Amino acid sequence: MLTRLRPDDDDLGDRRPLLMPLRTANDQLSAIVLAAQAGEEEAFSELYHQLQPGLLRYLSVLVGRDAEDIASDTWLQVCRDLHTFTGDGDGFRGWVATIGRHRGLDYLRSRSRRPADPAAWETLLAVPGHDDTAVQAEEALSTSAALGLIARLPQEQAEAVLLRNVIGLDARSAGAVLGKSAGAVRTAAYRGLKNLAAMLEQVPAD
Amino acid sequence: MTTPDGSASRRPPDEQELARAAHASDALQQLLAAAAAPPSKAELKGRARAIAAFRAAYRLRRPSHAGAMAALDRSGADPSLRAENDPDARPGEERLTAAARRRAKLARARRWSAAQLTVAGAALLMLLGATAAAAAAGQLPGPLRQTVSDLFDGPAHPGGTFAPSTSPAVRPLPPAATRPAPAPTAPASSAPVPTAPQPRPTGSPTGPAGRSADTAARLAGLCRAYLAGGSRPARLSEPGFLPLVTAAGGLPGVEAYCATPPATGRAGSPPGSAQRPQATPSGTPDRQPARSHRPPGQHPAAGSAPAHPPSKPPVSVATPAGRVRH
Repeated sequence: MLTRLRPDDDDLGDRRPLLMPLRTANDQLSAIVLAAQAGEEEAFSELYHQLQPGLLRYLSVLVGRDAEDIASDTWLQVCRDLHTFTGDGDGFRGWVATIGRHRGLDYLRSRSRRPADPAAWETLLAVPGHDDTAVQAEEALSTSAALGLIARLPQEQAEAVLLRNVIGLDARSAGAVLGKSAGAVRTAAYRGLKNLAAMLEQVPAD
Repeated sequence: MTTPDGSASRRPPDEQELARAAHASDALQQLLAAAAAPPSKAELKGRARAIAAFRAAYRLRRPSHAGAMAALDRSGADPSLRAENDPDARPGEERLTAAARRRAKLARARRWSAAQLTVAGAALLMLLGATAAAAAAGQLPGPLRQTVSDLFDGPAHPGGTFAPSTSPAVRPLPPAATRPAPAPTAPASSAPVPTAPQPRPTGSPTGPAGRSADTAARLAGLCRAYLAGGSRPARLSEPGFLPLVTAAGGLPGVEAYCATPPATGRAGSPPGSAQRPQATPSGTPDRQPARSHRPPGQHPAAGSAPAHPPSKPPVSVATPAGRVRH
């Protein structure tokens, strides 16, 4: 069914980040968004499938253990306001991330809890201590362990890394989600990556 | 935390520097890859709930094609449906604010003067009345009649449920299976009060009787105006003559139509006969009340999660109206 949705516009530039297994081509996602806006349930299901993992991971670093509830609320609002969205596939990623972030921050305010408490993360994920986590990273790192490490970053850096490297936004879109300039996002992401590398290096190489 | 690269604190790194940083070590690459790894089933277990929400939102929205949505937007009848009214939806994103700006612009454009609105409303009423009358009298060509009948029937049942039930039905989220469909298969209403698609109530009679009588008079007036103007066909392209053209079944028919005074002729059909000849335009297959098409057992752990491709019913079942109308 998705083949049918292949769009005409073919404008995805080279500015898209590199690795994203979660990313589909911008134009394909755009077409799916349009189909969902027209009421295609299967298209919406595909949107969920593509965006939910990144959203949930982002939220789990942002708010911790209640991320699933926040993600669920986010999708409620997405459904409610989907007809108002205009933009392409990348724009839609940013839109969903923005809604999720607002939901998450509202939640944190209402709980007046500090975001992304690393201790909560370790409990939640049953991740061993810091060094052990890093050791795991040397081998096959699980997604939750990776997120656990990212959650140790200052929030600003963690968000920048997640929006870029997990959700797959470019710096400009991520900046829009975060209310920052693209340059500020790149700076934060850069520092985050450096810090992550430093964390991983704390493990003596075998 | 440290800032390993002092220069980065002053000048933002470019994408190449970021890419280099991401590839600084195998361990970091692995970490990033793991963070972006394909989803586990557990991460997608909210799918059923999300789809139920989608279904609910679009079941409400489906009947309201352009006209009704425009009316809704204009009247602000249900702010919960409008992202720009929702503080949570106020996005920081540029593209989004651009969209919001476009919408605001549209909204401004829609805020016509009262006089303009009155004129437009009157014109629309005339058009509605004329087409309904013409459809009832069997004067419209088949496709147009179908359209007219869609137009009038559409809002009669689903539209009625639209505005009042919107926000409450969107918010709560009981399990999809237990949630009753908001308006299952409303029977073709015998009271064709086309309230939804009208942009605004103008205080004119909206019942079929009032409308068709009213319309006949207006059509007669239009005929007089047309004939008084020397029967120049070019004038018929003016928007004001649209009701007349529509009622006459097209430009070529206007001359003959006006030769027979509408008030006593075709458009003056008796009150009540303005009901459309085809009573089931698009409504019937629209909704499947209490559709529980989730195949059980696909995701045992996920409960009612709708199974993925294999046993899913064709989408076309889910949204016939949406596809037809968009």
